[in-house]
Amino acid sequence: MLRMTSYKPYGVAFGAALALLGAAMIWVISLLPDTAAYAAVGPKMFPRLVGGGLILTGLAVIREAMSIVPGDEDAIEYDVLPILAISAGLIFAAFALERLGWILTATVVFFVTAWAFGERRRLATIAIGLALSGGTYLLFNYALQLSLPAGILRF
Amino acid sequence: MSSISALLDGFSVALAPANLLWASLGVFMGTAIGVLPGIGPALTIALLLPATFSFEPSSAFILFGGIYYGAVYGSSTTAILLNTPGETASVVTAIDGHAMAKQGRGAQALATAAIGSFVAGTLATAALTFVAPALVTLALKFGPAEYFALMVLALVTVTSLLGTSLPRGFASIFLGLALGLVGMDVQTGQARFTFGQLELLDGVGTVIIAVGLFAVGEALYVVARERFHREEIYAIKGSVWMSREDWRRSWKPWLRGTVIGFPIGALPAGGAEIPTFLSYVTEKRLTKHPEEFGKGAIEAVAGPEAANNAAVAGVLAPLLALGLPTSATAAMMLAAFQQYGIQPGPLLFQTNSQLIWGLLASLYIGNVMLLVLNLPLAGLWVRLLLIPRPWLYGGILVFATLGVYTLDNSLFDVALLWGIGMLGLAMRMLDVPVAPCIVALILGPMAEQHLRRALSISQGDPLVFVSSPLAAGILGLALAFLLVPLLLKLRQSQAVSP
Repeated sequence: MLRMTSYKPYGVAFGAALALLGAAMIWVISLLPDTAAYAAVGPKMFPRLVGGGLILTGLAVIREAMSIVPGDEDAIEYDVLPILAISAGLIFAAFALERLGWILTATVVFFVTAWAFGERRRLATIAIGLALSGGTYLLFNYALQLSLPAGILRF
Repeated sequence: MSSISALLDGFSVALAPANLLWASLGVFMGTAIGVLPGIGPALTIALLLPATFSFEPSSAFILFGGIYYGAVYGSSTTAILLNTPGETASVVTAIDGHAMAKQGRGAQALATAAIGSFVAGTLATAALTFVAPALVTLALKFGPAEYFALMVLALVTVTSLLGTSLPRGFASIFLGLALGLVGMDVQTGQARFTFGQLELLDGVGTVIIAVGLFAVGEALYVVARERFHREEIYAIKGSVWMSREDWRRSWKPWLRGTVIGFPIGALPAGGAEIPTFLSYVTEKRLTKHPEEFGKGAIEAVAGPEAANNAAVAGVLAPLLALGLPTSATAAMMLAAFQQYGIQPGPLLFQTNSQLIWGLLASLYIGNVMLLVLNLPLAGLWVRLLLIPRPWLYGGILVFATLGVYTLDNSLFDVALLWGIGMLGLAMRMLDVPVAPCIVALILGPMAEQHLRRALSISQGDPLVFVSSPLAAGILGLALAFLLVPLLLKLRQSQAVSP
């Protein structure tokens, strides 16, 4: 469980990350080879503007976070385990979707998400997940002419 | 062609049986997703984009228009009965609407919301019919410099008026702009920020980002807070009809809400949230019962609910006439236009007048359908709330995966979806608003094109943005939107500190 007692350190870190991202953007775009200058402004100008904006915004976020007086806020608690569970489900989908097929993969995503949200009726959850993924499979592959992978369930 | 005859043409498109079917499906889905927590109109349109690719564009937009209107109707239901507004536009409704529900007057609150939404939606759609062509006439005078200025204004207002923290609002904007830069530069063909990944050459899809931020980010946030959150549904009981007194106290707020909602929605100032706040404040000032506000005043439901519906119609004016999205949902509709290779803007009214007027006509029809769907069926919609949360979010994530995968049949996109979802989770935990990021993602590439075009025409002279009075005026307005809140805050802190 993660307990956020104050926004302050997170805000400072977020601001620093924004500023770093901005600086990185300006650096990366400067590595781009120059093009023939047929236009007054090339492809580097807008990224530089955005990068500069990110740096300024990051500094403003840091300033805002620093001005917070500790102890004024209520602590907010977050459960980390369900976040990891849902993440695992989605990453699994990214690897398994084309091998296992849509119906089984989507059922896994459905089951893991429902489990993370505290659902413990396993059979009912699997049944609903199968109905949902099977229904969308039929709808997409036969009515909408989009192809979802059949995977190991070929029929 | 005058607006009236064009609109009559539009009705002949909208009344075609197939399109009537799409409109009713749209308002039905819209109401449902408005009622359900965790899924809103922007996410729904994003998820439907791949599925509607083979549709006639006019059918798709009739569907999307219905969803947008319906979602605003539906979200009042959850706001009133559950005190969890389905969309941000109903946050204000929840205050007094939920208080009414606690007193057993939930049905009356739902009724004044539905009828007020109908009145406001119809009047505002009528206003849209006449304002949009007028905006087109204005837009024909716009060059790249003016368009760029307009986009800057939209970005500034969407941030400065939304959310509590200006720096965090801008963080959202710049993250959206940065994400929008990934991919091939359209003018020179150079790859920017792709890190050698072929999948990134076309950019990070708008749909992936919208679905990642709205569906995955939201689900991850809700699941992390699930244990610490309780909700109570209040059943509808007693008389379901509004009394004469309820009507008497409702009709003026409806009209005032419309007058507040439409113009603010139509300005490139973004969204339906601000008019609801303004309507609430106005009604509180004008009412004979200010003591009831916060404890179940019917005016405080009637006004804001009218305002948010009028604002939705207003948002469509700059979207259709200028190609300028000012809310996350409008941004997704613009992405839909781009999917069909249609560029919204002044020319659209000439090249695709059937599409535009068919859409406008179907909005009138959709409003009538929504009144019918919402007044007698309110009890049915409430049942949707009985779907267990785990299954609801399981379903949302299945559809999120489905929508993103079917875009390009790419597993890379599914992995990216999770990454963007984690970003969304972090943004929510840090109280960074998500909507500006989506608007910036869509506006960024367009703004860059206009900026470069304007500077090419002026041969690199940045004064082009000041020498055009129109562009200078719009940029000045953007600056004012940025500085006024800052100055107000400064004055406030000075008034407090001594």
